[in-house]
Amino acid sequence: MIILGISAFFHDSSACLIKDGIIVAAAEEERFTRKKHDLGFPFNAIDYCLKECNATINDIDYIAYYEKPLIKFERILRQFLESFPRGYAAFYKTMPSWVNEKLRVRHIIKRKLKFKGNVFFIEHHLAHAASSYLMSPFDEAAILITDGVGEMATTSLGYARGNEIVLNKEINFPHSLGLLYSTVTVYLGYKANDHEYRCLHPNTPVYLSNGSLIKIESCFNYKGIIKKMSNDEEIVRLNKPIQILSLDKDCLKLRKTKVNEVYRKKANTRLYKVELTSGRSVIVTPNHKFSTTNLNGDYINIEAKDLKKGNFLMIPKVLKHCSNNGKYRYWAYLLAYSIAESNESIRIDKYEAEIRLGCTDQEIIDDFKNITKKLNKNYRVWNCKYRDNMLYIGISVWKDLDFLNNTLKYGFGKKASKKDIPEFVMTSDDETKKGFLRRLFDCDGGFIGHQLIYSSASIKLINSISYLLLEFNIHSKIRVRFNNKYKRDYYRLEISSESLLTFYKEIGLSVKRKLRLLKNYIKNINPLKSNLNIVPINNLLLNEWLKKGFTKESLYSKIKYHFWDYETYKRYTTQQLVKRSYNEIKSTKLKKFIDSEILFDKVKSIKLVKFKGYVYDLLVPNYHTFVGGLGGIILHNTMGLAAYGKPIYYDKLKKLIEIRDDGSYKLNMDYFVYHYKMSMPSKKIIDEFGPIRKKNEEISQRHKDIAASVQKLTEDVLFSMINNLHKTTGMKNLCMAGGVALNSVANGKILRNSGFENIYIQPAAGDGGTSLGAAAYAYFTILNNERKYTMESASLGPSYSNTDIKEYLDKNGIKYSYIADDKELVKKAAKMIYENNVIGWFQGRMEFGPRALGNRSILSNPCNPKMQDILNLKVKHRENYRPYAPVVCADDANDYFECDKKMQSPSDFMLMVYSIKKSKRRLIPAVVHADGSGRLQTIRREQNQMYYDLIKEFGKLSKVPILINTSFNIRGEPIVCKPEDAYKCMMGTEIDYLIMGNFLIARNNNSKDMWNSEEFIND
Amino acid sequence: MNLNEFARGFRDFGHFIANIVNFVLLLLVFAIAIGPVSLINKAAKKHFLDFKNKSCDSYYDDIAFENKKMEDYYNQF
Repeated sequence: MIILGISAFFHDSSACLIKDGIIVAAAEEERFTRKKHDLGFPFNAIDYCLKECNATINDIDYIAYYEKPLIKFERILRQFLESFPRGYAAFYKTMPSWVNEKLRVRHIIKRKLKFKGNVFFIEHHLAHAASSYLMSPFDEAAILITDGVGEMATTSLGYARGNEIVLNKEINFPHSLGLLYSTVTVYLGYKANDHEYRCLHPNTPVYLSNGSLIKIESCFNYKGIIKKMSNDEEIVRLNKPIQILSLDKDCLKLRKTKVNEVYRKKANTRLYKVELTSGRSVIVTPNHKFSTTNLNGDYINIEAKDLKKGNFLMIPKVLKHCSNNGKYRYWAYLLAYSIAESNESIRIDKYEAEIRLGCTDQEIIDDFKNITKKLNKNYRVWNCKYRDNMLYIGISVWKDLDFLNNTLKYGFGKKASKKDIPEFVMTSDDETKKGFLRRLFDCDGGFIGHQLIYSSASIKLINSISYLLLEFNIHSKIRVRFNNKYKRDYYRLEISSESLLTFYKEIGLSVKRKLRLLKNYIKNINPLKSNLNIVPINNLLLNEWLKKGFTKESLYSKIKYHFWDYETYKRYTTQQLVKRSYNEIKSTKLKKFIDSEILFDKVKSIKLVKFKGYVYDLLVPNYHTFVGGLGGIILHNTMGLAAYGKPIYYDKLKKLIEIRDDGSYKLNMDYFVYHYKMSMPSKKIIDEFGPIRKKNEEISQRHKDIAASVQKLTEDVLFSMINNLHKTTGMKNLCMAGGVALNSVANGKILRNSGFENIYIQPAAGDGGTSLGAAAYAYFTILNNERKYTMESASLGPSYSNTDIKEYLDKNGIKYSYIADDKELVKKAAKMIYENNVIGWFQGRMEFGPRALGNRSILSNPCNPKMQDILNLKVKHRENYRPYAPVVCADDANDYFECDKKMQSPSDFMLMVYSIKKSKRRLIPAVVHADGSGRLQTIRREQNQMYYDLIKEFGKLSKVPILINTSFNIRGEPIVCKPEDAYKCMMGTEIDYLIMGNFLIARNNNSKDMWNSEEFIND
Repeated sequence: MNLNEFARGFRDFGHFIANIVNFVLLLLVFAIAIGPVSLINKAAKKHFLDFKNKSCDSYYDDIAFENKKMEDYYNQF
């Protein structure tokens, strides 16, 4: 007797053929059409199943369909009736497929498949239950099915004995644990992302919230515990956190944030030197992100490698600092003169300091004398003379000698190119800083055109001055000039435009001739001329303006002195324009930019810089940004090495669901919209948890914490249900299926958290497995045939013989070598993996279900700590923090993993996550998740001999009989099916070798077929 | 003009018309069929989905056991 099971039209269409109680073939449609989660009628999968059985459609006795379409349609109608008038968009999208396909299943089967027999329609959750229980080795078991939704039920509980399956309790739509989990997953927007580390050049200055500037390299050397992440990556957890200013993206304001961890990585690569029009610059790794906005006012990030000339990047408008330390004010003033004046020197001899300073301005001389009078109060000034344009001061210093020894060296007697502002000035109070700056400019400031300038051979000094000025909202430009006389670069700081006015108000000058010039120049300031005035939110401003009923011409006319058109408007969307517009339209979206603490500066140039050494970054919680670089730019931190999330949002998530002691639950539907909308997260969820994570947005600690919280919530509900099931049935076996049963983390904890002794989970636990379940239910339960089959292997798909493979390779001119002996092939493969090559392994029958289990797998060395990065970067292009799964021989599993006492069959299908033994974690770093766990696959020799031998052979070389096993596919595509899929995948990624049957193909030998799959991905 | 291009263009035009017709027809169905039924039932305080607004000890619904015959599985309901 032959039964064909079909699932179609929802997602993961598939077909399964059972002959005389044994599964002959099963496959998902997506593997043939290469369309991920293909939901079309599975003609290709059915075709394959028939071929595998050497049968035609006329040989099929019954077809079993995986759901009752009319019951499901009734539920769909109920949704629209309940939510009317909402839901038309969903109604419009879904009705055509119901009318054309889903309600015409019998017609399609009869007409298109030309099947003349009877069709069974099995309820969805019964099909799930059958796919698990009837394929298990159990004679009786409790049953739990949890998925998004079937016809009406979202959770079903029951039991089974012999061939009978009884589901006696259910929870119905709209209350669905699966849809709650999906909603949060969509909210978090987990998608593959190809980011690598984002770091900075070691000399990059970082601004601390107390006002000081430190090199990022120095942050790493603060006292703390260093943790080696891999051979070339380290994190230091600081004993005392450093406090920085971080950008709050929601309100665009700078917040004080504590940083506890600093990261560094060895790099031998090209870095990007990004320079802005104001002279600000920073040297970063290619993937380092910069903060900016799009034309609609949304906060976005751009990576350095994607930057173009003319892009706007965020810079701080003003730096808030916290210090009221004015203790060494007068020393600071003295130092200002010494830094500014080149003709100076100091001699410190035990308790006496003699300072010599060249000077001609009377105001400075008077001020200097005044300072000494003030100093005399705490120290004894025994000499103060002015002779031959030189000031001579002698001071006895019997206290603060260390301080003076350390700080005075910043100015006095220092080479011009080494001068800098000491920390005590950078962290002093406003009065000290203002006085310091005024004296600096009094002494050595000048005017060129309408600009106040300060020149120095020391880039450090110029940088420190620019940061000091930024604390008073004074923006300066930094220019590099070449000094022909001294044959070296010198740096010029320029203050002009509105900043000049602010300088006059906040700092001022004492030297009369300079003050006169300053007053003269501030009379004619043109704010439009400053690049920093531009706010690149053209579309946002225009849209808000138009919403209020105004015309665009009336907006353009606000730009004075220019033609009124869109192009001009784009160039002159200035702070002033935004403010003036806001006064008329009072838009909250614009207010964010008016009240913000950031400005925008254009990218002037991007250059590549060769670099070898350590690159660094801070791990900034919450906001992930800090201020640094030359002149001050908003920089991004690195991710991926922060710990996995903590379930701190658990209590908030409990608002979404009410759970009873027996594990039953109901959802608070105020938070969900899936019952009338195609999209998932509701506005209320956004209000509760923050904005939805956008595509390619950084995965922040908040996202991870939410993920951890929803995982904990799901586990709690599942364990409650399971414990209730155990209590009511009294059975020792549990069978699970449904999409939620693919949650391997929860699965690994079930036996420890319940009274069940054994568990069986269908490897194709999602909707793809319902075709198998429908066929099994028809054969065993409806037709009451004897059960004699246990599904111990998921290898139910098509296989390709050596002849088929050779035909393909020869036809396409692919270079290969043939290794006839299986043992030799295994040895060679093990050696290649041991040598850190990435191998595509294509053997035997394709797996049924979402996991690759050794027939369509990518295999690599788990002992290599860099392997996770290599696979992420070269092959899978996904988030750095996602670990890879290990495969281990069943007899070795307990040596490395904290498995259940009795090894459960779901671990054969990679459905269980267990903790890796602490002593073994350092041996297999590439598969250890941040919490020390691993989603393992166990394999026995009788299941897959060659695969088993390969792992053992690798174990002989490395002493660790474990491999990394990840699915063989290009990102965005299903797992490979045919030889051409496998070859295409290898050539489009950076897999080193492909072993198909007994054929070995090296990627490098076939350069004509190389292509970059990442460029064409559309997922 | 190439026949293939013409056929493709005509097909695209057909899809475009189909989308408009679908939109209008479905809107009519939504407004004339779904709408009144929904409004009448809402007025009668009847719900089509069970939001479980009343708190209780268990949110499970019991499934009545049925002895199904083979013929019952031929039904799509």
